[in-house]
Amino acid sequence: MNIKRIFLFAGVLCIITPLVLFAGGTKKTGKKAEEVTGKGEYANKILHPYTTLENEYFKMWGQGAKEATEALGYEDLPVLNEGDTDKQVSQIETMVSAGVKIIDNVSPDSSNIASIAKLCQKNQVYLVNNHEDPDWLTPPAIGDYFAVQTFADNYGYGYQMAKLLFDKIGGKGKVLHISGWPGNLPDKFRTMGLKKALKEYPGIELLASQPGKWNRVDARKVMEDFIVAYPEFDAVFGQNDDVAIGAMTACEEAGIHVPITGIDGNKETMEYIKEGRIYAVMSQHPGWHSGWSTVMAYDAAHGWKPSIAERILQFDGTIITKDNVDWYYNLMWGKDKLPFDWKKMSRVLHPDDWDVQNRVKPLDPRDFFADMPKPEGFTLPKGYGEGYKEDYDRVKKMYEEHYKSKALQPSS
Amino acid sequence: MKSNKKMYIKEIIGNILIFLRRRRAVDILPYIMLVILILSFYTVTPIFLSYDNILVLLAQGMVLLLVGTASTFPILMGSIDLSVAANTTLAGIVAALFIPYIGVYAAFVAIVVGIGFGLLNGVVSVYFKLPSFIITLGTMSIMDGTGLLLSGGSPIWFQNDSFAWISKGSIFGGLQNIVIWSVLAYIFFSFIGSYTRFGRYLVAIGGGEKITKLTGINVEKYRIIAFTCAGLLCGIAGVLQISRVESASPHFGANLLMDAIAAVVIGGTPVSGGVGGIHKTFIGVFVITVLSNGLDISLVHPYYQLIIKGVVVLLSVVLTLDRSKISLVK
Repeated sequence: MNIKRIFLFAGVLCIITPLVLFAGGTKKTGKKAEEVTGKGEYANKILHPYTTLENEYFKMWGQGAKEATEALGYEDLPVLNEGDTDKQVSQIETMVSAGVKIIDNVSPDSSNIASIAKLCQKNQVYLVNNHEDPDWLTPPAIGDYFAVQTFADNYGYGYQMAKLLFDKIGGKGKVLHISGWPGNLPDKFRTMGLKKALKEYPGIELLASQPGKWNRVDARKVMEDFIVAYPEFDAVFGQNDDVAIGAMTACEEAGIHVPITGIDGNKETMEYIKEGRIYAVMSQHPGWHSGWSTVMAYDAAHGWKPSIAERILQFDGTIITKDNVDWYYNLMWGKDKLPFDWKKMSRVLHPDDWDVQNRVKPLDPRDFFADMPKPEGFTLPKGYGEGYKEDYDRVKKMYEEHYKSKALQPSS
Repeated sequence: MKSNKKMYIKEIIGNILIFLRRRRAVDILPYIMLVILILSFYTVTPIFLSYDNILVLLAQGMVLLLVGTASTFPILMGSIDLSVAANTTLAGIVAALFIPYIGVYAAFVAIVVGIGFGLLNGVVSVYFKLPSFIITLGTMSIMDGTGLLLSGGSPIWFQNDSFAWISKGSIFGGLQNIVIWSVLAYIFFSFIGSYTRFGRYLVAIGGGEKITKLTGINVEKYRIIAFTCAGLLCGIAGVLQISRVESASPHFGANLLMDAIAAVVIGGTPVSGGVGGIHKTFIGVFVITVLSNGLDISLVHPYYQLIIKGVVVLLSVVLTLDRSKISLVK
């Protein structure tokens, strides 16, 4: 060890220390330990664990989460896991130990949901979970703190987009399918929706299906291979926007122009729809979704107790084609803020006149997970027995009545 | 009186300089680095050193500790095992599939899987005389594919409280069992690495394989044992990982490989081998874990987190690696 290295070390410490000190919490620096109560400070934040910011879908997700959180008087606390489910568990553990009391979660896959939900239940932290969920896991199976599980209508999206695509090519022809990540829940349901539509269109032949892993790079490779293997085809069904864009670039490079569809509703895709390069997408409104789920997590932490049928909810998307793309683009990206009244969604702040601002319905787990094998020794919680049907009907009607602002309907 | 005080201070400084000149400072710099990080985070938010967060932090670092230790075995020999994360993930998936039938005994199946693939890496590397980089790149892909095939690409959720207890239960106070098993395994393998002939041979092989061979040491045998030890640790890590999250997923190992290699190098074992030791890896593991936990709890924006992590990892290596002992930089 020489003296030069010691000086280098000292110099580097001078760089690292302020970097760590000031990159995050300059306003807290200098306070005494007892002043930074910690638990109280973190209790004023709503934690939003999600995957990445390198994706338009999650950018919108983050925007909706932030807007809703701030509208409710809380501070937004996003943590990104970059697809690492174990890291996400660690991040949530850290934040729970610091005193966070409200979490609006979305996981890269369902592997960590049970663990996160149990952690929240144990530490009395209110959780709303979105999209991914292990087969047959329901919030009541964990406890009251796992307030609500939300799902996009992936089955419906797959079905509707497939029908739209098949109609576009006159109900007959050859179709290629680029799916998402094999085994992923939305991927499974979207494929099931596509298969349902295929049964209704005997003139449509599905030539091949390969995973595009939700990204345009892999999807492009798959499409390039498809073009070689199946030179004659009439349409491409993309499992999400990015996959559709990957297929689009490969087709255009080969001089092929066929209808291509996607699912997500990202800003970039809207431009391609305007230009006629992508035929249509199903927008699942990530900004609205994250804001709505944030409001539900807030409500749960402020006394709202959802009934059994209300604890698994599903929402609608909107089909975007060249006919309505300008309207949707202006709605979502025309202004600095998203076009939703977050406070009005709250059951606590507006107990009588709350407005969910999108079409939402309850989900019976027995229907939703019907095609999934049950885990060994699994039984549904008691609440799903007698009385569930009445509650389901009541909740369904209630959400229809409280869908007032039709901001997400093209006609409005 | 004053001159006495001056003399005393001079003597202390002199002793410190002598201590540093004896090159022993290279051993304590990683610890200083860790202490600086801890103090920095504590200054930003005192919650960082709260009892709850310390327990969380310990539990968070344990899978990385085992996989980092596993990576150290081949790295010490100047080889590399790129399949450690895939082996951990596959062992976890296989265990999850067996849990409904044999409960906690599925842990042994996972360990057998881990050992099996470790042994395969070693045997193929020795008998085909191929670089470990290529061999383990291949087996990594085989393990990833097998994991996807067995799981159908989906996470495998299990409900077994006894299996969950392996990681999440606590024998001592609030400390999760995952910490106990991991630290025990780490101590055991550190002992093997530091106080046995096998451990010393690993360093010798890393320092110069041909010369080691000429001295009559069965390099092939020790190479196979090293990869098998790595596999065993991956099997244990797989069990603890799935027990901690109560499910297995083919995507678990996403960032584990790079973090494990970084932990080894930060700890003071260069990827060229021959220097460092298994016992040093824990410091690298804790630098990475403290950094991740501290940045999250300090509310550092995710974009800044990536930059800071990169800077700290880079500087840790620049400062703590004893380059005087490395003959070759590739």
